[in-house]
Amino acid sequence: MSDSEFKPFNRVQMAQRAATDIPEGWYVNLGIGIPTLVADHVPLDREVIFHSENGILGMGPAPAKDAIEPWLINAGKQYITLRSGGSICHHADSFAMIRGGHLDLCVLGAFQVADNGDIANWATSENDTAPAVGGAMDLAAGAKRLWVIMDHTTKDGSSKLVTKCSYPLTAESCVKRVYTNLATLDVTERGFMVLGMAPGLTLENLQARTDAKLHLPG
Amino acid sequence: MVSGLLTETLWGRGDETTYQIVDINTNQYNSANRLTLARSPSPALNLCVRKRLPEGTRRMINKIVQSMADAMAGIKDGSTVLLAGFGSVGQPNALIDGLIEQGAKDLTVAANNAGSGHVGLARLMELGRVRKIICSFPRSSDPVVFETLYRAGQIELEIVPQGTIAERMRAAGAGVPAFFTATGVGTKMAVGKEHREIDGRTYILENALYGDVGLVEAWEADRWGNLTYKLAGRNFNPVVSMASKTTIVQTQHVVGLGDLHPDNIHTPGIFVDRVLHIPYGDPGSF
Repeated sequence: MSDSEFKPFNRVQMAQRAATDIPEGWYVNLGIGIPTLVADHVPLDREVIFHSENGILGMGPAPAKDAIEPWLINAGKQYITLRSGGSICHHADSFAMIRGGHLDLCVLGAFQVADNGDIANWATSENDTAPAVGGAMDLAAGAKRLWVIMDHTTKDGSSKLVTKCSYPLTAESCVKRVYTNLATLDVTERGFMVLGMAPGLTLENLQARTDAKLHLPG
Repeated sequence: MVSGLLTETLWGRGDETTYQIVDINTNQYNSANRLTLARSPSPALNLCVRKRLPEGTRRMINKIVQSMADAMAGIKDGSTVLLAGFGSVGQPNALIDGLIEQGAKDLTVAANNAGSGHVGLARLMELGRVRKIICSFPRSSDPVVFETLYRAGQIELEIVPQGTIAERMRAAGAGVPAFFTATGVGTKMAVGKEHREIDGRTYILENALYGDVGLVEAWEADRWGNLTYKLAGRNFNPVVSMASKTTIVQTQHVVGLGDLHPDNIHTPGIFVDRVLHIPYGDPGSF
Protein backbone atom coordinates (compact mmCIF):
# COMPACT_ATOMS: atom_id res chain seq x y z
CA MET A 1 0.00 0.00 0.00
CA SER A 2 1.35 3.43 -0.82
CA ASP A 3 1.33 6.33 1.63
CA SER A 4 -1.47 8.10 -0.22
CA GLU A 5 -3.99 5.35 0.42
CA PHE A 6 -4.56 6.01 4.11
CA LYS A 7 -5.76 9.07 5.90
CA PRO A 8 -4.01 10.05 9.15
CA PHE A 9 -6.17 11.41 11.96
CA ASN A 10 -6.03 15.18 12.36
CA ARG A 11 -5.58 16.97 15.72
CA VAL A 12 -9.30 17.21 16.40
CA GLN A 13 -9.86 13.55 15.59
CA MET A 14 -7.02 12.57 17.92
CA ALA A 15 -8.61 14.59 20.73
CA GLN A 16 -12.06 13.18 19.91
CA ARG A 17 -10.82 9.60 20.16
CA ALA A 18 -9.34 10.21 23.59
CA ALA A 19 -12.45 12.11 24.76
CA THR A 20 -14.71 9.22 23.76
CA ASP A 21 -12.76 6.88 26.03
CA ILE A 22 -13.13 9.01 29.20
CA PRO A 23 -15.98 7.67 31.35
CA GLU A 24 -18.31 9.73 33.49
CA GLY A 25 -17.02 10.63 36.93
CA TRP A 26 -13.31 10.72 36.16
CA TYR A 27 -11.11 13.53 37.45
CA VAL A 28 -8.87 14.51 34.54
CA ASN A 29 -5.91 16.82 33.98
CA LEU A 30 -5.16 17.86 30.40
CA GLY A 31 -1.72 19.04 29.28
CA ILE A 32 -0.98 21.87 26.91
CA GLY A 33 -1.48 21.40 23.13
CA ILE A 34 -3.71 18.72 21.61
CA PRO A 35 -4.61 17.34 25.08
CA THR A 36 -6.34 20.66 25.86
CA LEU A 37 -8.72 20.01 22.93
CA VAL A 38 -9.98 16.83 24.60
CA ALA A 39 -12.26 18.83 26.92
CA ASP A 40 -14.20 20.18 23.94
CA HIS A 41 -15.10 16.68 22.76
CA VAL A 42 -16.41 15.06 25.92
CA PRO A 43 -20.18 14.69 25.39
CA LEU A 44 -22.10 17.43 27.21
CA ASP A 45 -24.25 14.96 29.13
CA ARG A 46 -21.18 13.19 30.55
CA GLU A 47 -19.86 14.63 33.83
CA VAL A 48 -16.08 14.64 33.67
CA ILE A 49 -14.29 16.95 36.14
CA PHE A 50 -11.26 18.78 34.77
CA HIS A 51 -8.37 19.81 37.00
CA SER A 52 -5.76 22.49 36.35
CA GLU A 53 -2.46 22.50 38.27
CA ASN A 54 -2.90 26.04 39.55
CA GLY A 55 -5.61 24.99 41.98
CA ILE A 56 -8.70 24.67 39.79
CA LEU A 57 -11.06 21.71 40.01
CA GLY A 58 -14.17 21.73 37.83
CA MET A 59 -12.73 23.82 35.02
CA GLY A 60 -15.22 24.79 32.31
CA PRO A 61 -14.71 26.00 28.75
CA ALA A 62 -13.17 29.31 27.70
CA PRO A 63 -15.38 32.34 28.51
CA ALA A 64 -17.06 34.59 25.96
CA LYS A 65 -14.94 37.68 25.25
CA ASP A 66 -17.30 39.92 27.22
CA ALA A 67 -17.48 37.55 30.18
CA ILE A 68 -13.80 37.13 31.10
CA GLU A 69 -13.02 36.77 34.81
CA PRO A 70 -9.45 38.15 35.04
CA TRP A 71 -8.73 36.11 38.22
CA LEU A 72 -9.51 32.77 36.62
CA ILE A 73 -6.81 31.22 34.46
CA ASN A 74 -5.61 27.68 33.81
CA ALA A 75 -2.11 26.19 33.88
CA GLY A 76 -1.61 27.33 30.29
CA LYS A 77 -2.43 30.85 31.50
CA GLN A 78 -5.60 31.08 29.40
CA TYR A 79 -8.85 32.52 30.73
CA ILE A 80 -11.29 29.81 31.76
CA THR A 81 -14.63 29.36 33.51
CA LEU A 82 -15.60 27.33 36.56
CA ARG A 83 -18.48 24.86 36.36
CA SER A 84 -21.10 24.74 39.09
CA GLY A 85 -19.50 22.65 41.80
CA GLY A 86 -16.03 23.84 40.84
CA SER A 87 -13.55 24.68 43.59
CA ILE A 88 -10.28 26.50 44.21
CA CYS A 89 -7.35 25.30 46.29
CA HIS A 90 -3.73 26.31 46.75
CA HIS A 91 -0.80 24.90 44.79
CA ALA A 92 0.32 22.32 47.34
CA ASP A 93 -3.22 20.90 47.68
CA SER A 94 -3.63 20.99 43.91
CA PHE A 95 -0.46 18.94 43.53
CA ALA A 96 -1.59 16.68 46.37
CA MET A 97 -4.51 15.76 44.08
CA ILE A 98 -1.90 14.85 41.45
CA ARG A 99 0.87 13.33 43.56
CA GLY A 100 -1.51 11.62 45.96
CA GLY A 101 -2.97 9.54 43.14
CA HIS A 102 -6.41 11.17 43.17
CA LEU A 103 -6.59 12.02 39.46
CA ASP A 104 -8.07 9.22 37.38
CA LEU A 105 -6.34 10.39 34.24
CA CYS A 106 -3.76 12.76 32.90
CA VAL A 107 -3.41 13.38 29.17
CA LEU A 108 -0.08 14.82 28.01
CA GLY A 109 1.79 15.47 24.80
CA ALA A 110 5.22 13.87 24.40
CA PHE A 111 8.41 13.81 22.35
CA GLN A 112 8.84 10.07 22.84
CA VAL A 113 7.11 7.13 24.51
CA ALA A 114 8.92 3.82 25.05
CA ASP A 115 7.27 0.40 24.93
CA ASN A 116 7.80 0.00 28.69
CA GLY A 117 5.74 3.16 29.32
CA ASP A 118 8.63 5.60 29.80
CA ILE A 119 7.80 9.14 28.69
CA ALA A 120 10.05 12.00 27.55
CA ASN A 121 8.20 15.26 27.16
CA TRP A 122 10.13 18.11 28.80
CA ALA A 123 13.57 18.48 27.24
CA THR A 124 14.93 17.54 23.84
CA SER A 125 18.55 17.24 24.90
CA GLU A 126 20.63 16.35 27.96
CA ASN A 127 22.33 19.67 27.32
CA ASP A 128 19.18 21.76 27.10
CA THR A 129 20.31 25.04 28.66
CA ALA A 130 17.26 25.72 30.81
CA PRO A 131 14.55 23.13 30.32
CA ALA A 132 11.12 23.91 31.72
CA VAL A 133 9.55 20.98 33.54
CA GLY A 134 6.49 22.67 35.09
CA GLY A 135 4.11 20.04 36.46
CA ALA A 136 4.85 17.30 33.89
CA MET A 137 6.87 15.06 36.23
CA ASP A 138 4.27 15.33 38.99
CA LEU A 139 1.45 14.48 36.58
CA ALA A 140 3.26 11.59 34.92
CA ALA A 141 4.33 9.99 38.19
CA GLY A 142 1.20 10.81 40.19
CA ALA A 143 -1.97 10.29 38.14
CA LYS A 144 -3.67 6.88 38.27
CA ARG A 145 -3.18 6.57 34.52
CA LEU A 146 -1.36 8.55 31.88
CA TRP A 147 -2.43 8.77 28.27
CA VAL A 148 -0.36 10.49 25.60
CA ILE A 149 -1.59 12.26 22.48
CA MET A 150 1.13 12.96 19.94
CA ASP A 151 2.07 12.56 16.30
CA HIS A 152 3.33 9.09 15.47
CA THR A 153 6.55 10.40 13.95
CA THR A 154 8.63 13.57 14.04
CA LYS A 155 8.55 16.00 11.12
CA ASP A 156 11.54 14.19 9.59
CA GLY A 157 9.77 10.84 9.89
CA SER A 158 11.50 9.26 12.89
CA SER A 159 9.32 7.21 15.17
CA LYS A 160 8.23 8.73 18.46
CA LEU A 161 7.28 5.25 19.71
CA VAL A 162 10.62 3.80 20.70
CA THR A 163 12.24 0.93 22.56
CA LYS A 164 14.19 3.40 24.73
CA CYS A 165 13.74 7.16 25.00
CA SER A 166 16.77 9.09 23.78
CA TYR A 167 15.50 12.35 25.28
CA PRO A 168 15.61 13.05 29.03
CA LEU A 169 12.85 11.14 30.83
CA THR A 170 9.84 12.79 32.45
CA ALA A 171 8.88 9.60 34.29
CA GLU A 172 9.41 5.85 34.09
CA SER A 173 6.88 3.16 33.14
CA CYS A 174 3.72 5.22 33.50
CA VAL A 175 2.13 5.65 30.04
CA LYS A 176 -0.91 3.40 29.67
CA ARG A 177 -2.22 4.47 26.25
CA VAL A 178 -1.06 6.48 23.23
CA TYR A 179 -3.27 8.22 20.67
CA THR A 180 -1.30 9.15 17.57
CA ASN A 181 -2.29 10.47 14.15
CA LEU A 182 -1.91 6.88 12.89
CA ALA A 183 -3.10 4.59 15.68
CA THR A 184 -4.34 3.99 19.20
CA LEU A 185 -2.05 1.78 21.26
CA ASP A 186 -2.02 0.41 24.79
CA VAL A 187 1.23 -0.04 26.65
CA THR A 188 1.19 -3.61 27.99
CA GLU A 189 3.67 -6.02 29.52
CA ARG A 190 4.41 -7.24 25.98
CA GLY A 191 4.90 -3.68 24.67
CA PHE A 192 2.70 -1.61 22.35
CA MET A 193 -0.65 -3.26 21.61
CA VAL A 194 -2.46 -1.79 18.59
CA LEU A 195 -6.12 -1.07 19.39
CA GLY A 196 -6.97 0.77 16.18
CA MET A 197 -5.42 2.37 13.12
CA ALA A 198 -6.14 5.24 10.74
CA PRO A 199 -8.51 4.18 7.96
CA GLY A 200 -6.68 2.34 5.19
CA LEU A 201 -3.50 1.72 7.20
CA THR A 202 -2.17 -1.83 7.56
CA LEU A 203 -0.23 -3.18 10.53
CA GLU A 204 2.75 -3.63 8.19
CA ASN A 205 2.69 0.02 7.20
CA LEU A 206 2.25 1.10 10.79
CA GLN A 207 5.17 -1.08 11.91
CA ALA A 208 7.30 0.44 9.13
CA ARG A 209 6.79 3.83 10.76
CA THR A 210 7.39 2.57 14.31
CA ASP A 211 10.72 1.74 15.94
CA ALA A 212 9.20 -0.30 18.74
CA LYS A 213 7.71 -3.72 18.02
CA LEU A 214 3.91 -3.64 17.65
CA HIS A 215 1.54 -6.33 18.83
CA LEU A 216 -2.08 -7.15 18.14
CA PRO A 217 -4.42 -8.09 20.99
CA GLY A 218 -4.92 -11.78 21.64
CA MET B 1 8.32 64.18 73.49
CA VAL B 2 7.18 61.16 71.51
CA SER B 3 3.74 59.90 72.38
CA GLY B 4 4.18 56.32 71.55
CA LEU B 5 5.04 52.82 72.55
CA LEU B 6 8.53 51.43 72.19
CA THR B 7 8.06 48.13 70.42
CA GLU B 8 10.07 45.62 68.55
CA THR B 9 13.76 45.86 67.89
CA LEU B 10 14.29 46.64 64.23
CA TRP B 11 18.02 46.21 64.07
CA GLY B 12 21.17 46.50 66.11
CA ARG B 13 24.31 48.02 64.73
CA GLY B 14 27.54 48.61 66.62
CA ASP B 15 26.70 49.92 70.07
CA GLU B 16 23.24 51.02 69.11
CA THR B 17 19.83 49.43 68.84
CA THR B 18 16.96 50.92 66.88
CA TYR B 19 13.37 50.50 68.02
CA GLN B 20 10.09 51.13 66.30
CA ILE B 21 7.68 53.51 67.99
CA VAL B 22 3.98 52.89 67.56
CA ASP B 23 1.56 55.81 67.81
CA ILE B 24 -0.64 54.99 70.77
CA ASN B 25 -3.62 56.85 69.37
CA THR B 26 -3.78 55.29 65.93
CA ASN B 27 -1.88 52.09 66.68
CA GLN B 28 0.10 52.69 63.50
CA TYR B 29 3.75 53.08 62.89
CA ASN B 30 5.99 54.44 60.19
CA SER B 31 9.65 54.67 59.49
CA ALA B 32 9.86 58.29 60.65
CA ASN B 33 9.14 57.29 64.23
CA ARG B 34 12.14 55.28 65.23
CA LEU B 35 14.32 55.59 68.26
CA THR B 36 17.98 54.66 68.38
CA LEU B 37 19.44 53.96 71.81
CA ALA B 38 22.67 52.62 73.17
CA ARG B 39 22.61 48.84 73.12
CA SER B 40 20.98 47.04 76.04
CA PRO B 41 18.95 49.93 77.40
CA SER B 42 18.59 49.59 81.11
CA PRO B 43 15.35 48.25 82.60
CA ALA B 44 14.88 51.69 84.06
CA LEU B 45 14.72 53.19 80.58
CA ASN B 46 12.12 50.66 79.44
CA LEU B 47 10.13 51.43 82.54
CA CYS B 48 10.40 55.09 81.78
CA VAL B 49 9.00 54.59 78.29
CA ARG B 50 6.15 52.46 79.54
CA LYS B 51 5.29 55.04 82.15
CA ARG B 52 4.46 57.50 79.42
CA LEU B 53 1.47 55.44 78.32
CA PRO B 54 -1.92 56.71 79.37
CA GLU B 55 -3.95 54.54 81.73
CA GLY B 56 -5.74 51.68 79.98
CA THR B 57 -3.80 51.89 76.75
CA ARG B 58 -2.45 48.65 75.42
CA ARG B 59 -0.72 47.77 72.27
CA MET B 60 -2.91 45.93 69.80
CA ILE B 61 -1.58 43.56 67.19
CA ASN B 62 -1.35 45.50 63.99
CA LYS B 63 0.50 43.94 61.11
CA ILE B 64 -0.65 46.63 58.71
CA VAL B 65 2.25 48.87 57.72
CA GLN B 66 1.88 52.30 56.21
CA SER B 67 4.66 52.42 53.65
CA MET B 68 6.60 50.23 51.27
CA ALA B 69 9.78 51.11 53.17
CA ASP B 70 8.24 49.67 56.33
CA ALA B 71 7.08 46.59 54.46
CA MET B 72 10.59 45.95 53.15
CA ALA B 73 12.52 46.96 56.28
CA GLY B 74 15.35 44.67 57.30
CA ILE B 75 15.54 42.38 54.23
CA LYS B 76 19.20 41.37 54.22
CA ASP B 77 21.65 40.64 51.43
CA GLY B 78 21.86 36.92 50.76
CA SER B 79 18.23 36.26 51.75
CA THR B 80 16.11 33.52 50.24
CA VAL B 81 12.94 35.13 48.92
CA LEU B 82 9.87 33.00 48.16
CA LEU B 83 7.71 34.65 45.55
CA ALA B 84 4.07 33.63 45.08
CA GLY B 85 2.05 34.01 41.91
CA PHE B 86 1.15 32.02 38.83
CA GLY B 87 0.87 33.82 35.54
CA SER B 88 0.09 37.41 36.39
CA VAL B 89 -2.58 36.34 38.87
CA GLY B 90 -1.97 36.54 42.59
CA GLN B 91 1.53 37.85 42.06
CA PRO B 92 2.77 40.54 44.47
CA ASN B 93 4.09 42.92 41.81
CA ALA B 94 4.16 46.00 44.04
CA LEU B 95 6.23 44.16 46.65
CA ILE B 96 8.71 43.01 44.00
CA ASP B 97 9.09 46.66 42.96
CA GLY B 98 9.54 47.47 46.64
CA LEU B 99 12.30 44.88 46.92
CA ILE B 100 13.98 46.37 43.85
CA GLU B 101 13.87 49.76 45.58
CA GLN B 102 14.96 48.36 48.95
CA GLY B 103 18.28 47.20 47.55
CA ALA B 104 18.96 43.74 49.04
CA LYS B 105 21.27 41.76 46.79
CA ASP B 106 22.83 38.31 46.41
CA LEU B 107 19.31 36.91 46.69
CA THR B 108 18.05 33.41 46.09
CA VAL B 109 14.56 33.65 44.62
CA ALA B 110 12.10 30.75 44.45
CA ALA B 111 9.13 31.25 42.14
CA ASN B 112 7.25 29.24 39.53
CA ASN B 113 8.70 31.25 36.63
CA ALA B 114 11.93 33.13 36.07
CA GLY B 115 10.38 36.48 35.22
CA SER B 116 9.03 38.00 32.03
CA GLY B 117 9.99 41.04 29.99
CA HIS B 118 12.02 43.64 31.88
CA VAL B 119 9.75 44.26 34.86
CA GLY B 120 9.26 42.70 38.29
CA LEU B 121 11.40 39.64 38.93
CA ALA B 122 13.07 40.03 35.52
CA ARG B 123 14.09 43.57 36.49
CA LEU B 124 15.46 42.37 39.84
CA MET B 125 17.57 39.81 37.97
CA GLU B 126 18.61 42.32 35.33
CA LEU B 127 19.97 44.54 38.10
CA GLY B 128 22.24 41.69 39.16
CA ARG B 129 20.57 41.22 42.52
CA VAL B 130 19.64 37.55 42.14
CA ARG B 131 22.38 34.97 42.66
CA LYS B 132 20.17 31.94 42.17
CA ILE B 133 16.68 31.17 40.91
CA ILE B 134 14.69 28.11 41.96
CA CYS B 135 11.74 27.49 39.63
CA SER B 136 9.81 24.90 37.65
CA PHE B 137 9.35 26.79 34.43
CA PRO B 138 12.12 29.27 33.53
CA ARG B 139 10.59 29.80 30.11
CA SER B 140 7.77 32.30 30.35
CA SER B 141 6.20 34.32 27.54
CA ASP B 142 9.25 36.59 27.40
CA PRO B 143 12.18 35.12 29.35
CA VAL B 144 14.85 37.32 27.70
CA VAL B 145 16.50 38.53 30.92
CA PHE B 146 16.77 35.09 32.48
CA GLU B 147 18.09 33.47 29.30
CA THR B 148 20.72 36.18 28.77
CA LEU B 149 21.99 35.93 32.36
CA TYR B 150 21.87 32.14 32.34
CA ARG B 151 23.84 31.80 29.09
CA ALA B 152 26.41 34.24 30.46
CA GLY B 153 26.76 32.14 33.60
CA GLN B 154 25.62 35.04 35.75
CA ILE B 155 22.76 33.28 37.47
CA GLU B 156 22.45 29.86 39.04
CA LEU B 157 19.37 27.76 38.18
CA GLU B 158 17.71 25.00 40.15
CA ILE B 159 14.86 23.38 38.21
CA VAL B 160 12.27 21.75 40.47
CA PRO B 161 9.03 20.06 39.41
CA GLN B 162 6.12 22.37 40.21
CA GLY B 163 4.49 20.03 42.72
CA THR B 164 7.82 19.47 44.43
CA ILE B 165 8.37 23.23 44.84
CA ALA B 166 4.90 23.64 46.35
CA GLU B 167 5.37 20.65 48.67
CA ARG B 168 8.86 21.79 49.71
CA MET B 169 7.31 25.09 50.80
CA ARG B 170 4.45 23.39 52.64
CA ALA B 171 6.96 21.08 54.34
CA ALA B 172 9.05 24.08 55.43
CA GLY B 173 5.95 25.68 56.92
CA ALA B 174 4.91 22.48 58.67
CA GLY B 175 8.21 21.63 60.31
CA VAL B 176 8.92 18.74 57.94
CA PRO B 177 12.60 19.05 56.98
CA ALA B 178 12.42 16.61 54.05
CA PHE B 179 10.03 14.14 52.44
CA PHE B 180 10.00 11.31 49.91
CA THR B 181 8.23 11.70 46.57
CA ALA B 182 7.83 9.62 43.41
CA THR B 183 8.02 12.74 41.24
CA GLY B 184 11.32 12.82 39.36
CA VAL B 185 12.36 9.21 40.00
CA GLY B 186 14.39 7.92 37.04
CA THR B 187 14.97 11.45 35.70
CA LYS B 188 17.70 14.08 35.91
CA MET B 189 15.93 15.42 39.02
CA ALA B 190 16.87 12.27 40.94
CA VAL B 191 20.62 12.52 40.36
CA GLY B 192 22.48 12.77 43.67
CA LYS B 193 19.34 12.41 45.79
CA GLU B 194 18.68 9.73 48.38
CA HIS B 195 16.48 6.94 46.97
CA ARG B 196 14.31 4.71 49.11
CA GLU B 197 11.92 1.89 48.31
CA ILE B 198 8.74 2.03 50.38
CA ASP B 199 6.06 -0.64 49.90
CA GLY B 200 7.53 -1.61 46.54
CA ARG B 201 7.80 1.84 44.99
CA THR B 202 10.93 3.96 44.66
CA TYR B 203 10.98 7.51 46.00
CA ILE B 204 13.54 10.32 46.21
CA LEU B 205 14.21 12.59 49.15
CA GLU B 206 13.45 16.29 48.72
CA ASN B 207 14.32 18.97 51.28
CA ALA B 208 12.00 21.62 52.65
CA LEU B 209 12.35 25.05 51.04
CA TYR B 210 12.50 27.77 53.68
CA GLY B 211 12.19 31.47 52.93
CA ASP B 212 13.82 34.26 54.89
CA VAL B 213 11.23 36.45 53.22
CA GLY B 214 7.94 35.56 51.54
CA LEU B 215 6.15 37.94 49.17
CA VAL B 216 2.40 37.34 48.92
CA GLU B 217 -0.63 38.90 47.29
CA ALA B 218 -3.97 38.69 49.09
CA TRP B 219 -7.47 39.82 48.19
CA GLU B 220 -8.48 40.79 51.76
CA ALA B 221 -6.50 41.17 54.97
CA ASP B 222 -7.20 42.30 58.54
CA ARG B 223 -4.80 43.72 61.11
CA TRP B 224 -4.04 40.26 62.51
CA GLY B 225 -2.81 39.24 59.07
CA ASN B 226 -5.70 36.90 58.31
CA LEU B 227 -5.92 36.59 54.52
CA THR B 228 -8.26 35.60 51.74
CA TYR B 229 -7.35 35.18 48.08
CA LYS B 230 -9.40 35.54 44.93
CA LEU B 231 -9.90 32.54 42.62
CA ALA B 232 -6.71 31.50 40.82
CA GLY B 233 -4.93 34.24 42.77
CA ARG B 234 -4.50 31.74 45.61
CA ASN B 235 -1.86 29.56 43.87
CA PHE B 236 1.44 29.55 45.82
CA ASN B 237 0.41 32.31 48.26
CA PRO B 238 -0.66 30.10 51.21
CA VAL B 239 2.47 27.92 51.10
CA VAL B 240 4.79 30.92 50.65
CA SER B 241 3.14 32.43 53.75
CA MET B 242 3.75 29.25 55.75
CA ALA B 243 7.33 28.73 54.66
CA SER B 244 8.78 32.19 55.26
CA LYS B 245 10.31 33.67 58.41
CA THR B 246 9.04 37.12 57.43
CA THR B 247 5.90 37.02 55.32
CA ILE B 248 5.07 40.31 53.64
CA VAL B 249 1.65 40.71 52.06
CA GLN B 250 0.21 43.21 49.61
CA THR B 251 -3.58 43.22 49.76
CA GLN B 252 -6.31 44.66 47.59
CA HIS B 253 -8.60 45.26 50.56
CA VAL B 254 -8.05 45.91 54.26
CA VAL B 255 -11.01 44.81 56.34
CA GLY B 256 -11.85 45.18 60.02
CA LEU B 257 -10.99 42.47 62.52
CA GLY B 258 -13.94 40.10 62.54
CA ASP B 259 -15.13 41.06 59.09
CA LEU B 260 -13.71 37.89 57.58
CA HIS B 261 -15.84 34.89 58.43
CA PRO B 262 -13.60 32.48 60.38
CA ASP B 263 -14.65 29.61 58.12
CA ASN B 264 -13.47 31.53 55.09
CA ILE B 265 -9.99 32.67 56.11
CA HIS B 266 -7.52 31.02 53.71
CA THR B 267 -4.30 31.93 55.51
CA PRO B 268 -4.54 32.45 59.29
CA GLY B 269 -2.59 35.46 60.53
CA ILE B 270 -0.03 33.35 62.41
CA PHE B 271 1.75 32.90 59.07
CA VAL B 272 1.80 36.63 58.28
CA ASP B 273 4.07 39.43 59.52
CA ARG B 274 3.41 42.60 57.53
CA VAL B 275 0.50 43.75 55.38
CA LEU B 276 0.57 46.65 52.95
CA HIS B 277 -2.60 47.97 51.29
CA ILE B 278 -2.13 48.05 47.49
CA PRO B 279 -5.53 48.37 45.81
CA TYR B 280 -4.70 48.09 42.14
CA GLY B 281 -7.79 46.31 40.77
CA ASP B 282 -7.69 43.40 38.36
CA PRO B 283 -4.53 41.80 36.99
CA GLY B 284 -3.57 42.79 33.48
CA SER B 285 -3.34 40.48 30.51
CA PHE B 286 -0.32 38.25 30.16
